[in-house]
Amino acid sequence: MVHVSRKTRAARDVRVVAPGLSWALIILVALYIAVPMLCAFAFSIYVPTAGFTFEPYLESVRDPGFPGALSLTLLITVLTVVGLLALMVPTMVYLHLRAPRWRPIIEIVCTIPLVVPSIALAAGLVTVLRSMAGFGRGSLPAQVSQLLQNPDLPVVLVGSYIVLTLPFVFRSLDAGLRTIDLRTLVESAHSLGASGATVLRRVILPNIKGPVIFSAFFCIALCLGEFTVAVTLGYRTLPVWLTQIAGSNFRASISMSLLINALTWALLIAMTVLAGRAAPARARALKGHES
Amino acid sequence: MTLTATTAHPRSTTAARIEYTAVSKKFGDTTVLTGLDLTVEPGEFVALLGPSGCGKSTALRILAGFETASSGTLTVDGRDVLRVPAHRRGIGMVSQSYSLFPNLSVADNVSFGLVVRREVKARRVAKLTSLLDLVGLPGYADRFPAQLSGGQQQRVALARALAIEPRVLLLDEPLSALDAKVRSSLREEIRNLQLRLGITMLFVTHDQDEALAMADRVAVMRGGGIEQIDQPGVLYDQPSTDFVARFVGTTNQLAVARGAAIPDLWVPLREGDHDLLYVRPESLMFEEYDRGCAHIVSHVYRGATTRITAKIDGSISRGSSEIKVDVPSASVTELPIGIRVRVRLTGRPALRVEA
Ligand SMILES: Nc1ncnc2c1ncn2[C@@H]1O[C@H](COP(=O)(O)OP(=O)(O)O)[C@@H](O)[C@H]1O
Ligand SMILES: [Mg+2]
Repeated sequence: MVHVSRKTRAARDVRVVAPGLSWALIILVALYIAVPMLCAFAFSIYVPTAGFTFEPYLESVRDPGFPGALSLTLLITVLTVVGLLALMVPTMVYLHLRAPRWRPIIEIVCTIPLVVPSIALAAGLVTVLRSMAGFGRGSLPAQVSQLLQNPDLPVVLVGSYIVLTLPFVFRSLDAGLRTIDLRTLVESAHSLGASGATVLRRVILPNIKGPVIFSAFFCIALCLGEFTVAVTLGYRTLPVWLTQIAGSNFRASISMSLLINALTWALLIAMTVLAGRAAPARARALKGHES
Repeated sequence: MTLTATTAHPRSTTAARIEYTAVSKKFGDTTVLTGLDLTVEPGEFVALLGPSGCGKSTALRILAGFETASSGTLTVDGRDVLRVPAHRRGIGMVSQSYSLFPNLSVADNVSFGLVVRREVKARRVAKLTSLLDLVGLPGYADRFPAQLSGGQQQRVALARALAIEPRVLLLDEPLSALDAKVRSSLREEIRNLQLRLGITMLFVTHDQDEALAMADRVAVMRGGGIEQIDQPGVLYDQPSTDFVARFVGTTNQLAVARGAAIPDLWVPLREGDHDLLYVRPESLMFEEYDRGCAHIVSHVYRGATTRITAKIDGSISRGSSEIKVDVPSASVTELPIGIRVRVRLTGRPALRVEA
């Protein structure tokens, strides 16, 4: 009896302490994130000699390197998101339906990028591409190497970014597919006359919308912010360009990085709203049930 | 779903004939189907009945196109279907549960097969209305699966499968996740629907009551093959093997001397060669008798009848050690627990086997 009551008291204490503690933690984390950004923002709009001004923002946009960096980054982002989803959604579905025994192996493979520093990935890529080019002008490996590094369409960067997002995307899609009765849904759709592509589009995707949106978001955030691989491979993406102008116009680079940061947050919020709307049936239905 | 509903409904004019010939299935080293032979006539309702793991679902899934057969042939209306992909077979399927698309409303679920086939909207709407009437869910079109009870979900799944006017409808334990009351009412409704539509149905269950109550013929499966296939009454009265006798209905196994005539009064046989009689509880009677071979140990009230169990004295190495008899509930007081009884055969044993 004594034991039990002590236990319940302990439990109650935790509950009493918890709300205050958790609020303190939330505020602490919020400050940790917000303070540097606010400082950067203040720095970007207040020039001691000129007072408050948006000039640094305009300067950054006016920089001759900006349009090229922006369009390259956007192109890479779009290709990476499309490539990632086109690769991973069918793969994960196949894994769950037909090859569950391979799941642990794929999981490990997809986790490797998490433990390999991106500088190592970039250095490795550089070595491989160089040795391929070393076969001599016109040879097949050299041509492939050149194709991968096409300055207008850097396939190698898209590939690297897909790899870098795999650990998170694998987990997200894996969890999403576990929450639905995939096999039954797929088989029902087949028996109603739907082919594989139709099943994927009409049945599977709508039911894992949340994880798919999360994957896309994560991928976009990575593409907008990745520096190491891009600079090592010699591409002038937005983050690379930012560090380059930081030398000549520090305030402009800060304002641009704030813009990118704000864009990422806006995307995150948009995705959260979208995902919330995507989990419709169940949530909405349950609400309806109660009323 | 009422039988008197007057709405037009899609009548399957093309009920198909199914023929499994020596269909085998191996998963790695395990043989799950051992040369299955089964013919289902057009418009017939056949139940596959057997213990869990005997290969019922596998047999069904091969026909639906979700598993391949290792050998054998399987035809629908004479045409080999084994190489046709699942989505081109035109075979409807209703599974145990949770098969509705959770992101789609009832209307969209039922219309799914029609949308996939690109049927025009007017026809889809008309069909949806008649199908929802047919399964007794008019006015549920805008609900989502999570807003429906288990029984309602299965009705929608049924409507969804029927929407494509399948040549064959397969049901894999569609009722086993439901509670007893819903189960028994849906049981009747599915049967009525099948009779009305005249559709060929293959129904999997491990519940013998379900199989006997619903099917034209019941195929009792065991270890990947069919042990016996017959009408429910024949299966019950004339089981062809001891497995069927034990699996379908309740039996008492009474040992008698090898080749001996069936006695009026049964006494336990404790030595010598013997045959086993498989006797239904309604084919036996207990009579109060001081020097009887058994004493009554329990009464189980079942409505009109009560099942009385008597334990045979001493150890019994052949046949049952307890005997179950069904008596009208009104006469139960004549056989209170504890009294000594003898066992009289009032009907023919369902089966006699040399043990
Ligand atoms: N995909 C599979 N891989 C390996 N074994 C399987 C597979 N599907 C079913 N089995 C095995 O086949 C046997 C029969 O399964 P099933 O047809 O589902 O039985 P039932 O429906 O009669 O309960 C079971 O022993 C089961 O473990
Ligand atoms: Mg089964």
